[in-house]
Amino acid sequence: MTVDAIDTMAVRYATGWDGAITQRVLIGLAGLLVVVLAGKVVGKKDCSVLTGLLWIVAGLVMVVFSIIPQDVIRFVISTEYLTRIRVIMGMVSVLVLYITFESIRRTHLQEKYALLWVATALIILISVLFPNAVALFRAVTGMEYATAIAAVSFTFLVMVAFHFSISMSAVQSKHSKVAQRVAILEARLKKLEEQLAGKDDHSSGGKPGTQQNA
Amino acid sequence: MKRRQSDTVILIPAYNEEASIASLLQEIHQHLPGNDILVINDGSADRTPAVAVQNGAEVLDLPCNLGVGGAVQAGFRYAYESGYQYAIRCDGDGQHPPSEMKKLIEAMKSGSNVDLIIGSRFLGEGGYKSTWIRYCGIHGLAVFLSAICRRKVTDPTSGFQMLNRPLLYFFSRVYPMDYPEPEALALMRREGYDFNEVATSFRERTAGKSTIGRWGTLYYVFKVFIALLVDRARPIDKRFSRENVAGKI
Repeated sequence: MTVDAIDTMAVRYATGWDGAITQRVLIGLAGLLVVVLAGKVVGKKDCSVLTGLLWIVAGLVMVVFSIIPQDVIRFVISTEYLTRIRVIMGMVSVLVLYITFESIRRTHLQEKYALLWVATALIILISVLFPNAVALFRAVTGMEYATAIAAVSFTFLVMVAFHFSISMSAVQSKHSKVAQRVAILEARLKKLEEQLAGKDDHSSGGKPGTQQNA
Repeated sequence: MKRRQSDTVILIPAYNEEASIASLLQEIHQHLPGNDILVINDGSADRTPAVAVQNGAEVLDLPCNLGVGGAVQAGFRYAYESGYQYAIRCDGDGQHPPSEMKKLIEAMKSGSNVDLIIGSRFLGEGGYKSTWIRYCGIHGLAVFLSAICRRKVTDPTSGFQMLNRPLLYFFSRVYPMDYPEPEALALMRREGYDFNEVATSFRERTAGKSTIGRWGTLYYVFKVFIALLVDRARPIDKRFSRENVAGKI
């Protein structure tokens, strides 16, 4: 399928949206709802402003699309393919960065585990902002832009996975040390309790059946 | 604070050994009266800890299943921290007869400056029957271990052992987690500890079945070989070596 064929399909798709009044109204309302809710939340202090802004942008895009669907799709088609990929990858990398920082902020994620994710997102972001750098990479490796991005992401994913295996091993050995310590302390505690019980009540001689070689 | 009745503690790692642990403990009381016994319950789902307490053993209750290595190491750690001079390790399934423990004790206390006595199935006559895969695996390991330990090893997977206090200290710091016995031998030799084997008779298991199946045997041998080779490449941690431990603890 050629590029032109895809474009004509997209245009036909765009004209199709003209008649779909119900859907457009629903999308517009949903977008408005998102914008209003996000706007309300942003005002509060305990919420991150960035999250609210992202949601507002998403809602606005929905509203604009519901009002002028044809123009939106035409505008998208009028841009170059490379531009579109760059915009999408830019959004992806910003999203990864944002989610990583947000997870650190909410202490779901320790900084040392976040470093690889941040690096991945930054490299993609750099490739978006400076396409010439990618041109060099392309000249060296012969990879197309999208392929290069995919390769970079994949490499980092493998590294992240390996990092996880290593930290899991560390966690496992620590967890067995903790379990051993807990068991030993518990045994000592029981002994101590028995001794105390023995002191309190000499006649009974401790709990029956738990005394060694009585 | 600890009330020790003997200078030796008998360590029994047990995982779901409800059926065999009671008779084993009774037998130990009969052959070694007054000896402290510690059952390490490796997260059993059955009544193993309760049965052990009823039969006059102390119980170390691990909050989750750590595998043989983790359980045994918990026992070593406890024995060391409680001030025992020696520990005898035997399995909870009853294949190590308590009557044979005296042989271990004799060999250990005969003053041959050895840190570990291993009860071997293959040394004496009579011998031990097993599947041929297992036989090949164990003997392959034995030959390899004998070479790198510069000591004769006939039964590298035996869990019937007696340790002295310096080795208890070392093993409570460093001990492999799964399939620990052969690797532990190589590790202790690298730190200057010494071991010896004595012939002991083994029984068929009285209950339960081996945790290692046929394919498990292949995996066991493979894993242990890799571990042995990797251990060779590691630096020796002098802090735990015999010269720095013996006489100081």
